[in-house]
Parts: sequence; structure tokens; C-alpha cells
Amino acid sequence: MKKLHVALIGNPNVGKTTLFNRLCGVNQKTGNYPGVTVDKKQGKFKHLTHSIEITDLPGFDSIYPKSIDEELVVKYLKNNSGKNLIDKVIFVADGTNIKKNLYLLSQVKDLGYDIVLAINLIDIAKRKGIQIDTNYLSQEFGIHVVQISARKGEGVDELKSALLLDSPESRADDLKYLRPENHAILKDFTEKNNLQNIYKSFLSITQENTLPEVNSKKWKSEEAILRYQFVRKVLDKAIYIDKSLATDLTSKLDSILMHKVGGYLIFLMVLLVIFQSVFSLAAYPMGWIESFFSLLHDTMQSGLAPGAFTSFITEGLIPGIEGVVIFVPQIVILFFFFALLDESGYMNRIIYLMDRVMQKVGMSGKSVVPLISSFACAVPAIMATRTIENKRERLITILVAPLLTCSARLPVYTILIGLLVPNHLLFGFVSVQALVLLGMYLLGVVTSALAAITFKYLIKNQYRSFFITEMPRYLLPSLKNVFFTIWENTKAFIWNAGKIIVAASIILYVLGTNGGEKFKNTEQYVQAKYPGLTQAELAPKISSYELEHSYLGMMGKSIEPAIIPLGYDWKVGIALISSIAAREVFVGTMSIIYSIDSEEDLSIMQKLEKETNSNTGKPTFNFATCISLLLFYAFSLQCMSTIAVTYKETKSLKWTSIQFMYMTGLAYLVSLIAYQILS
Amino acid sequence: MKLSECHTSFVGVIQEVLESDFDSKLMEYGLIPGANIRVINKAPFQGPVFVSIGSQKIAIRKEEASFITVK
Repeated sequence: MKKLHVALIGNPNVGKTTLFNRLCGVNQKTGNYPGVTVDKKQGKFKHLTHSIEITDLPGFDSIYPKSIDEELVVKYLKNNSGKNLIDKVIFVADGTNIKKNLYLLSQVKDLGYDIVLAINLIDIAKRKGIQIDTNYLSQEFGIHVVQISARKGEGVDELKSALLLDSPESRADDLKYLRPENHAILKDFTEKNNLQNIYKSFLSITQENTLPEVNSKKWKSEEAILRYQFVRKVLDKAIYIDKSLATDLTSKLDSILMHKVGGYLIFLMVLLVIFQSVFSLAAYPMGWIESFFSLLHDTMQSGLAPGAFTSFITEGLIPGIEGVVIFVPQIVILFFFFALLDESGYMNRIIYLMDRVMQKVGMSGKSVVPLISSFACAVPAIMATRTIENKRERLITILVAPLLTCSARLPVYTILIGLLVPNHLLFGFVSVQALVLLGMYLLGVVTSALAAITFKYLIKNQYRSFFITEMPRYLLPSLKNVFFTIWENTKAFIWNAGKIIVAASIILYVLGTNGGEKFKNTEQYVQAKYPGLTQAELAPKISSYELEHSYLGMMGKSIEPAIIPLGYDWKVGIALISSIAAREVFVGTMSIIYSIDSEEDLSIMQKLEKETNSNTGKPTFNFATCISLLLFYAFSLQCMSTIAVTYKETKSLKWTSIQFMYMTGLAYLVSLIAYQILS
Repeated sequence: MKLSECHTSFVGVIQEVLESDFDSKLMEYGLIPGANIRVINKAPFQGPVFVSIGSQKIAIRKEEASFITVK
């Protein structure tokens, strides 16, 4: 069977992914391009005599790249050599708006590729009264042209067959992008440098200034004009639009959704629906996950022989994995909404509405989506910043995203707020605790805005930030694509955050279950200290004594001098250290440490209320300490996964450390001031 | 007149795209001399301008729009 390597390319939002899924089904895998964080999707299918391998490249708008994604595709296309040689290119175009696609198509064609043009969304185009003369396009460009609807699967077999055919001759001028008086210069340069492709040598002149005597900027802008003239000339003949058929639902929707006041109100409602679902809807599956893991924990504990291994499984591994899985419902729901917004075309309207506001704080309209995700978890948020072209805007978004209240902070806040204020009702219906929680959310928003403004003045802008984006028509989202988006992002989260949370939980488990001489002889020490107690009464005292004298306990004690000014003792120190794996671990650790002085079975809240600070003798969780801890958790970067994903996305140790230091520094400083004033 | 100064529902033709770092980018999006242009919407607070060029709809920031002259 003959092999054929095909690259799938096109502008963004033309249905490339839908077509890729249609062609390969489940026969696909996602990898990474070396050195960058853009996903590389490859798939396979068989057609007649050929086995066809297909690489799905990220959508791009131009041969002159302006984002990481685009740079990658352009590099890939310009250096077509080696074992991944591309035999054919499927260029996907949007049948309802083909002009811009053909512009890019003519550039790719000039790079010397053998292309099959797949005009997608043909069903919608026909409904809009658009008719396309594929024969004419085929002759002008020297390519095969197929009309398809990737959503419905129309024309896909025809497309597969077209891949196996030889391309026709092109009728168009080879050097249509250059003024005739410059032809000789370009040809000369190409021959002298022994370049194979004349357009590549043109790009070398315009992109790298390899021919200094040429005004490369002028060549570039003339290329745009000449190419557009060419494309327009072709389109005039190849496309016929029956105006009477064109229904303009998009314009009508836009006048509502982009209204000066109404547009923002609708966006606010959309946000509310998303938040409401992320928090209340996700609570059900999160409850199931919790019960499942506690069942698993109990089964393992009673089923396996007691010992170090069992304890490692039940106390180290299972809680570690649970710490990852517990976030999956929220992330699935979040990406369900994002996929809907993106697929429907509404996302670009949000970007448009929010651009000005976000620019004021050094970010872009495109930062809105990552920042919304950050309320669930900063990890997918930071991954989602890839769509922001400008490096500074992207960096600022990454740096401030973890300041927004993620869901791992919720259990911590719940406990601390419970200790801080009684659950009174204000005016008979407003819960005081809920008000404080709302205040914490607002605090996150305000701080991230202030931090963004600060970074705006500190970070120099290497590239001029500009914003130009296409507004796609509104479309009914395809369920298949929505499903794929959810799947891809959830997988990425489990992998990126998961391995770190699990690894950190295991390390903390080992540190918490090993220690020096006192740790090893815990039982004797505890029995000597409390002579009259029964075995059952001793058990909780033993576990907390063990924790105190474990390596983890020693670490907690060693940082005590640094945290006394904040109002904490070494026990809180242990909880601070162990919650580096993930913030919500704070709650579990606290409940183990504070089992020490409880005579009867108390809830964690009651235990904490009774606790006295070993340095001051006053209740540990007084007003000042609770406020100080709340502020500490609001600002500090107590999350290994975020640190790892920031490094992965910025590829910079410098910015990863800056993020960690500014957040931790801010947390320390604010908690210190708050405690010192309040105590 | 600059595109950035046009009112909503302005209809006209692009006269010139002034030289800048991003002029070729603007032209790739179809903002080239001679193209028919219509201002559909303007985002509040000096936000981006939403225009249609032929069947294509794009949004650009005011700063970029000021490099485009229209008639």
C-alpha cells in the first residue's frame, strides 16, 4: 500500500478540526512540536490504494506570522524536508467567506505545494445564495477543488479521492505578487543563492531582509495589494451571490449582542450562567467522586494487610489522585461552555466588547477567556492564554491569572470563614458568611487588576500590540467538536496538573510518615505522657504526635520563626507546607494535626475553635489569625501545578520565579500587616 | 477622513492604508485601497471598531483604524 503524507491547513475557524475528526475518527494522536507548546495532531486513514497519514496544523492567517501558532505553521511549511515530507496539502476554506482564505491559499501555493482545496460549510453557503465555480478556481490556481460539509460528511469521499490525483496546471502568473519591474531582481537573487522556490526567496527578502538594497517593507505591502487584486479578479468570475437568498441573521444578532449596553448585560448573564453551573452543577459529581474515593479508601484499608504499603496506598496515593479527579467536573463544565461560545462565534464578540477594558490593565480582549477559567483552576487558564498574540499581554495574563479565586481555595475559605464569623443572617436573608466569601472573590479580581497594571508599567513591550480579528458568522455548535474540546482540555489538565499533584502528595506523605528518633518511638512517648488512656483514646494522639515529629513536622517547626509575625504556629506551618501540592490539602492536614487535644469526636471546625497557640497561649484561630490566613491563601501561589504550567507555557525560569515570588511576597506582606494591625 | 473617526453605519471606500509596522497585516485582512467599507458598530469607551469589507466582518482597535483613510 502506498503511503501519502498530507498536511491539513487553513485559516482559523474554517472547520479544520471537524474535517480532521471526520477523516480520521478515533484514529488520531496528539503530540507536541519540539520546543513549543502547540499540540501536534496526527491521524491516519486508508483510501483505495493508499494509506494516508494526516497532520493537522494550527489555523493561521498569514505567511507573515504574528503568534506562536502561526510562526510554527509557517516554519513547518517553509522547511518541508526530512522524513516528515508533505506530499499533499488539504487547504480548508470557509465557503461563506472565501476571499481571505484564497489569499492565504495563493501564498501557500506559491511555496510550491500540491494542494487540494476543500471548500467547507458549503451547505450554509448554498443557503446564503452563494454559488462557487469550482472548475474556474481549479484552473486559476492549478489545484483540485472539492466542496464539502465536514459537519454533515458531504463531499468527504470526493476529497479523499482528489488527494490521489495529479494537480492540473495553473493559469495564473507565477510572480503575480511582485511588480513587473522587480521580477529580474528576484529571479537574480534566487539563482545566485541557488534557491529552489522563488516565493521562498521572496519571503527571505521580505522577512529576513537578505537583500538590503530592496525596500522589503514596500515589497511586502505591494504583495498584499497585488495578491488581493488577483484574488478579487478570480472571485468575481468564480463566485455568484444571489442576494435575495442571503438571510442575514448574523447582522441581526450582532445588533443585539454587541449593543453598547445590552451587549454587556448579555455577557454578564452568560458569565452568571457559567459560574452558577461551575459551582452548583459540579457539586453533584464532586460529591460522587468524594464518596467513591472514600469507599475505595475504606475497601483498600480493610482488604489489604495493614502495613507501610497499604498506608502508602490509602493515605498517600488515593488522596493524591482524588485531589486531581475532584476538579474534573468543574473543568468539563467550564470547557463545555467555552466550546459552545467559541463554536457559535460569540467568543469573538466578547473579545470585541472587552478589549478596551482589558487594554487599560495591560491585557487584551482575548485575556477574558483565560481569566474566566481561572475561577475554576489556573492551570487550564494559563494553557488558554496561547491565543493571545502579543507576548506582553499574554505574559501579564499568565502572571495575574492565579490571583483569581480558584476552586481549590474554596474549602480553605469555607473553614476559615466559618471560624471567623458566625452564620448570621443580615436583614433576615443575607448570610454574613456568604458576604465574606463574595468579598474574597472581589479581592481576587481587584488584586489581579492592580497586579496587571503594575506589570504593564514594568514589562517593556517588544512588539507593538495590535488587535485585528475576524468576526465569524454565528453557527449552531457541532456537538462532536464540543465533545472534542472538552476531551482535549480535560486530558491536558489531568496530565499537566495531575502528575504534579500526585507526585507532591506522595512526597508529602513520605515526609509525613518518616522521622527521627522521637517519631520511631512515638508510642512510648505518648503512653508515658498520657498514662491512664485506653488504646482507642491514644490513637489520635499517636497520629498527631507522629506528624509533629515527622520530617514534615520538623519543616513546619523550622519555618515557625518566619510565620509567627503572621499569627501562625508550627502546626499551621505544616499545613502551609503540605498545601503546596494543592491548596485544599490544608483542610485535611489541619484535621490530622489538631486531633491532638480532642477528648471526644469533634468536627474539624470545633477542633480548630478549641485550639490554643503554643506561643501565645491564646486561641490559635482568633479573628486576626483567621483574617491573616485568609489573605495568605488569597495571594500566595500555593500550587505546584500552576508553577509547572507557567514554566511550560512561558519557557522561562525568570517569569516563573517572578510569579512565585511576587505572589508569595504579597501574601506574606499583606498577612503580616493585617495581623499586626488586628492583633 | 480616518476610519477611527467614522460614525456607526458610515459607508465608503478605503483611500489609503498609511505605512506602519502592521500595514501588510491590515491588507491581508482585506483592508486595501479601493475596498468598500461599512462601519457596523463601535465598542464603547473608545474600544475597537467593527467593520464589514465585502462579505467579511472584522474588528480592529481604534489605534489601527487611525492608519486607514476612507472617503
